[in-house]
Amino acid sequence: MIRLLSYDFFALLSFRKLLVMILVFFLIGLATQKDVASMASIFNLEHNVADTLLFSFLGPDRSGFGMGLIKWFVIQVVLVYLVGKMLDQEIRNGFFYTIPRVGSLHLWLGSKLVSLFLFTLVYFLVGFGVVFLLSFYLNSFSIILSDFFHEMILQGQGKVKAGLFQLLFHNFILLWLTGFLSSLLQLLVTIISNRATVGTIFIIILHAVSGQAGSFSMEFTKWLPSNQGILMRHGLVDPFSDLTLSWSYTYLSVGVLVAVMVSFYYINQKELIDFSSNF
Amino acid sequence: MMEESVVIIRKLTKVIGGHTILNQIDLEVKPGRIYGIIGHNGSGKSMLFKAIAGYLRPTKGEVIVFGEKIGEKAKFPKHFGALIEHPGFLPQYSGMRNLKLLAAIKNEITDEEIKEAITQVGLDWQDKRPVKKYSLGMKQRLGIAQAIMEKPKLLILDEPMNGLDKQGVKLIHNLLRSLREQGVAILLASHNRDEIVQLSDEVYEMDRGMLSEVCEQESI
Ligand SMILES: Nc1ncnc2c1ncn2[C@@H]1O[C@H](COP(=O)(O)OP(=O)(O)OP(=O)(O)O)[C@@H](O)[C@H]1O
Ligand SMILES: [Mg+2]
Repeated sequence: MIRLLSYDFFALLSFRKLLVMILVFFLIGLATQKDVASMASIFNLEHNVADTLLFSFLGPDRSGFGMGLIKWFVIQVVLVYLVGKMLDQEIRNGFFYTIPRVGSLHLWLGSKLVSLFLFTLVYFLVGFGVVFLLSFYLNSFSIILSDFFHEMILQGQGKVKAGLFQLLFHNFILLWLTGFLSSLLQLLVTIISNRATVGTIFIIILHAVSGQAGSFSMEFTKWLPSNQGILMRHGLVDPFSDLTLSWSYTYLSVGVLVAVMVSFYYINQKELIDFSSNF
Repeated sequence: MMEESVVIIRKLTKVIGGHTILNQIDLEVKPGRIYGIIGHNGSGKSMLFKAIAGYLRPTKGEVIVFGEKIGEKAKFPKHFGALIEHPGFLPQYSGMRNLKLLAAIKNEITDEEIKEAITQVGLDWQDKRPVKKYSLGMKQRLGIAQAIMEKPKLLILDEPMNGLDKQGVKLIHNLLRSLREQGVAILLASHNRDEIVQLSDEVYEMDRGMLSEVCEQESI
């Protein structure tokens, strides 16, 4: 299992992909920095290292427009794309060489799941790392939320009721778990349709819909998987949102469990293990 | 002492979506022999190989490889190497790196053995280019190296000569003959009747899912 994992992990992660990640997050960080700096000068408020980091990853607010939405969408799409490339190679005959060596379909699938779990972790670690370094270099250091942050989030209506580390922690975990769930769904759609592009497009549409759907009632959109990873839409940051952290953690855990079970069930009852043909 | 059969197929039938793709197939494969299968496109050659490799659940009948029933409960054969349809490798890595990653899954062979397999198919193991820069024939050769590197006792090659040049074909023919001498059971599928007849100890023809032996007289 460990040895297969290393194969899967190498299949997912290459030097080139790592560079792509670093570049993408560097640009995201840079764009955020520019926004933050210009807004802060308009309001004439101090901003610090945490602002660029948080605004890079908080995601879109409930209106579902603007820079927040674009950045969040780019982050998701790049992840979906990288995962899709790996799935594409595996269903284009890769499995013919890996499955018999593993000797078990369950181990094969299990290894895919674990490597997606690790890959999404690496992806967001790189993301937070790159943006933090950039922001650390460009801004004054602080471990508390700036006045600028409170102003931007609540427009002068008081202070955000959460600490910096609390926000960063939940932001990271929610993004990671949502990324993991979305790549599980991508895997599932891919092995059912035998086409990595179908899985990829399906997830991108799901994200696009969820991203925009914030403008409808949260009552409805809290059922969409992508919204669980958008901290900006959670009650922790947005006092008018009834999307709670415990809802999202429960949703994501149950979602992952169901996706894993359905994947195993599907592969068990498959008559012909052949993901390369389009019958 | 009777030589044990490597593969025994009894009355294997596979129906997918109402189409009978494999129809009542019987086949016995012994060590140290080459079995050639000819047949038109879509006749079921690859499907038969997938059945032996454990990729499909028989509708009826059974496939037994090294005494173990294959296909049920998702069981895959041991001591087995295969090239089925097209070789699929990780395009961003070199040939050597690809085989090392695959070999690492079973972890039964050394780097020296991988290098040997790559050399046997006429490639250079020191070639650092990624596989995506390989030509069709080079990928095919690497696919064959992948199939033989773990010294399987059963070797399944589906259209192995695809994209190979004359020298490549000759090289692989000699390779297969020497593997046969070492007691490997080899199953080959091809459209090229002459090649199959020349290389095989037993020739079969697949026609719309039915397998029948081609008589020696007829083939000569
Ligand atoms: N995934 C699948 N689902 C259903 N039917 C399939 C599937 N793959 C192949 N078939 C059908 O099975 C039959 C046999 O296909 P197979 O690939 O074994 O032919 P083949 O003899 O290898 O042909 P070729 O010479 O083109 O390689 C064909 O009629 C094909 O339409
Ligand atoms: Mg075929």
